[in-house]
Amino acid sequence: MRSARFVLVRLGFMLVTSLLGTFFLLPVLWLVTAPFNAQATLRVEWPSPFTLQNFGEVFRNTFAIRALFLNSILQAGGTMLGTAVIATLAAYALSRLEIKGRNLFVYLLVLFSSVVTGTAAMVPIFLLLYYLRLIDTHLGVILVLTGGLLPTGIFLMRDFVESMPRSYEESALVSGATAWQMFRDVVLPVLRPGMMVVAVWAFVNAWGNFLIPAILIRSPEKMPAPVAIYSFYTEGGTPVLTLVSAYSLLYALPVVILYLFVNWRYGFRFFGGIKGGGK
Amino acid sequence: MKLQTEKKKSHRIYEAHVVLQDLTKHFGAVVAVDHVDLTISEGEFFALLGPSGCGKTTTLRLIAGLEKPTEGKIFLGGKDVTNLAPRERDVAMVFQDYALYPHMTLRDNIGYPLKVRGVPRKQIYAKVEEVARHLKIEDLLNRRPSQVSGGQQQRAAVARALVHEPQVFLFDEPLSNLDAKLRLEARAFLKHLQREVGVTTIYVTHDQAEAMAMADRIAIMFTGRICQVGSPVEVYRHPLSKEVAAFIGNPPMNLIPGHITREEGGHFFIGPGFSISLGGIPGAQEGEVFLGIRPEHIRVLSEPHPQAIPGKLYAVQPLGPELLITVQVGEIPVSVRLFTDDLPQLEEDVWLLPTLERVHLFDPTGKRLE
Amino acid sequence: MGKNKEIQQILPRATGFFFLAPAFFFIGLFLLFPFIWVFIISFTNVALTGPTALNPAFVGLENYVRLFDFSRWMRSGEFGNALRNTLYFVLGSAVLGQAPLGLAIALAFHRRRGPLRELVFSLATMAWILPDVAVAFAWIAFLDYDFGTLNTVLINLGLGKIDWYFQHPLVAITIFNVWRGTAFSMLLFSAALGSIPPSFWETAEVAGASSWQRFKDVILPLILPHILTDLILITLWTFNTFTPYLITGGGPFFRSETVSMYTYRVAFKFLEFGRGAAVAVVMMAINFVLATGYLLSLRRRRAYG
Ligand SMILES: Nc1ncnc2c1ncn2[C@@H]1O[C@H](COP(=O)(O)OP(=O)(O)OP(=O)(O)O)[C@@H](O)[C@H]1O
Ligand SMILES: [Mg+2]
Repeated sequence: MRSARFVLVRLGFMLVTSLLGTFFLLPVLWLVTAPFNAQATLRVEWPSPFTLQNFGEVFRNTFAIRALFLNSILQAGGTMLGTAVIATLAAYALSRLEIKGRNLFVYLLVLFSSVVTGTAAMVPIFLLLYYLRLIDTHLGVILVLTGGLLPTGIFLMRDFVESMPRSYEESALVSGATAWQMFRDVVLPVLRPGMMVVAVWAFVNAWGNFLIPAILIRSPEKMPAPVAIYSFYTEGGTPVLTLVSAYSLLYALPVVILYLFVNWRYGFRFFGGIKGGGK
Repeated sequence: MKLQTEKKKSHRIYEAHVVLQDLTKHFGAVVAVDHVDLTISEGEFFALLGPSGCGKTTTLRLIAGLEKPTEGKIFLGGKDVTNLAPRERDVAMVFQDYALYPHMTLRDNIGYPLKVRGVPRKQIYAKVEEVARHLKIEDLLNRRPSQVSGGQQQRAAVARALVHEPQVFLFDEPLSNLDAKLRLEARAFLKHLQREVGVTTIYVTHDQAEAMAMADRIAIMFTGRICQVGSPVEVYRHPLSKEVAAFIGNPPMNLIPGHITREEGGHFFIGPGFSISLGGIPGAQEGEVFLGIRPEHIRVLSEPHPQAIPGKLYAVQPLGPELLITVQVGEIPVSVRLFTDDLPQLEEDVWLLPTLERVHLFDPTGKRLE
Repeated sequence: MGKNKEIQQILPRATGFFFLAPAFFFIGLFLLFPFIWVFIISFTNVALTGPTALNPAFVGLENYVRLFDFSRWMRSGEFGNALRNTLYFVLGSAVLGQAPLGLAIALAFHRRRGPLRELVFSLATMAWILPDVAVAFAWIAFLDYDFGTLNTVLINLGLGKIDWYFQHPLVAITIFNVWRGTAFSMLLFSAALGSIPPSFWETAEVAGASSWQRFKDVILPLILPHILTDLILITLWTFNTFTPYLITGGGPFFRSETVSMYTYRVAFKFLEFGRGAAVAVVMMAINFVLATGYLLSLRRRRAYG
């Protein structure tokens, strides 16, 4: 009797969780079928005829390619570099200067960055960039993205710095290292995993951000991929679904790859749940 | 070993090598090191012993240059280094957690002090090999610290300290992360190594047995102050205060409160429920005192004796080569060590006979009475 | 010999402040300054086009008065409408959607490893981290009236098609946001449950408590502070999210327009920054209240130990 009930419960559990899995899977199915379908519609169907032509079409579209392989990489890469480096320096200084109340400070900073966020923050920021003549520049996008991601970046980095024993640095100093040698040979290598995590996190956030470049970038030749895709869809009548779907997939791929990489390399760590943070 | 023995051993003139003058360090309101004066000779193995939080690490860090003294001066080899950076002091330090860099192999870890001095790579590796062979870790040089055992990590940390032939070694409880068996091995190993290399060594520990076993001289520190400096035998035989007496020895010295009266037979010690003659013990004078007697200087009798202290048997712990007996004298537990492996036949009532020549007297403030 | 030279610390103060300077520069310029400046802008009629573009003037409370003009406040395309939509959207997708669903998944897979868990967690996490525009297109396809997967499923279940965009745009973006954001609550609760010592469960199990009793008496009290934290954070994020705009554009007829989209329209479509700033001030005020609530909830938790 007991075992029958057990089997039933077990089956019910598997059914319900499978349904949940389906709920998370179904909406993205189109993104992986349509790009390979020569006659893609909005329907999810087995690609027939199967083709890679859609990707060829993307690669022949100079606007799309420029957006993806130049502008997006420039903007997300710049943001990644800026955030990782500045957050590392700041987190390190906060820790080693023994500033009192630094934990609270970083916490408040992160919180504050989620108050000044989204479209609301973009109102004054747009005007600021307008007066600084940074509208429609890569630099403008990078600066704004970095500014938005930094508080959380520092927050993430802080864990790594605080878990590095001071004796590492002290032993380097007693061993005869100069401050710079100590920083280069000991501090940076030990903090590298943390920098990698912050860098990947910042890259994914900057790569996926639509709002900021959509507001700050005007000219087509500087648009990053998300803005370019959106313009494919909204401008010029009926969207070419083959192109849009193939392009979207190409655009989403780095995020998937980075997720898998981080998962494999460091295990997907859940840093008090910080994904957002960007504006 | 060819490291530096020739150079140093040949003229082992015991001159002052490390001098601390009036050294004081405050952390806000905390006085971690309180007007410490110490002179350590060249080649000496010097232990800094004291309970947790007494300021040993801080003293060591002051010598290394990792802390700036609030007051006082530090001399290394006759040179005032008080205001020099750590790397200008030519010392080497082994940290309690070893501080081996996780991203470097043991080879690079050990060679690091040479690397930052700009020694060519080939020479570094040759030297690392030599030191590693001596410490018997030459097979582990390509591994990372996380891939070797605790004892091997400890050796690697020592190797790193050794490699650039510093003037002074500083050790901060280097054995506290090892298990009991390894710790005994490492004691012998470090002591042997220090003798061989002959480098002045300052060794911080809170383990009195470790300090006694290894050091040429011991400084005992309480709450930032040095209470006594002397050879292990001196501090053991001749503690200058009740605190030192109670800190050294395992189990520590028994301290029985009471007072001394003078009668015609000489001085008598009146303890809780007994009175014994002290004969002509130096320092005996009338008044409140603590009578100190080490556990190994007591005999246990099963019948009364005029010079014995009556007590109640509390516990007998056979430890193999010796017995540890606890006897309740009034409210005070008194430990006795007997060097025998035969269990004695004892009733509940026992009498403790102290060896009078080995009795210590301390005044109520804890100062030794001579 | 150097006299009076500072002893080398791990990080000399000057170098430390040098390290901090870039971060302070960014935070000052893109966080603090906009926060203060937006108040000032909201009292002006700054615009990038039209007659006031060249010399903006102070207009006092005019922007706020227009925002809270209750005679037209609830009309389509007005602030009140956006506020009401946002309320439904946040309640539906964050409070009633993400949090309970995330908790349910975390509980279902608590102390159960295995491929099914990996699959559900990975899929949910994917939905959470994929770029906005990519998921927006996927959802446009998913919700399509004629070809969309959702309607195909509904038809196969015998439930009939629904015109999501025209009839239920707000429901559509609500479901979308549940799909998009549940991973956060799931991961948070999963971590919270993982930090409960197994002995707590086992004691309750040995005592013969039923699953429900176990949940109610052991787990719930322990994760209650986390639930509060979760609710405040996802409310904050959902309130500010702009992604649904990519699916419905706020339409049709502003029926799915949230405050975030409203701000975007006023400031960046009409380029009326004074008015946009007034909305931004209101949004930030709401954010501020939520963030303060979050801080207080953390304080409470710390007090519990
Ligand atoms: N950086 C610091 N800031 C403030 N107080 C400190 C600091 N370092 C040490 N102290 C205080 O100074 C006193 C001495 O500390 P120290 O580390 O030297 O003790 P210790 O003898 O090495 O103890 P242990 O055996 O536990 O290592 C302690 O009261 C400690 O709390
Ligand atoms: Mg210490």
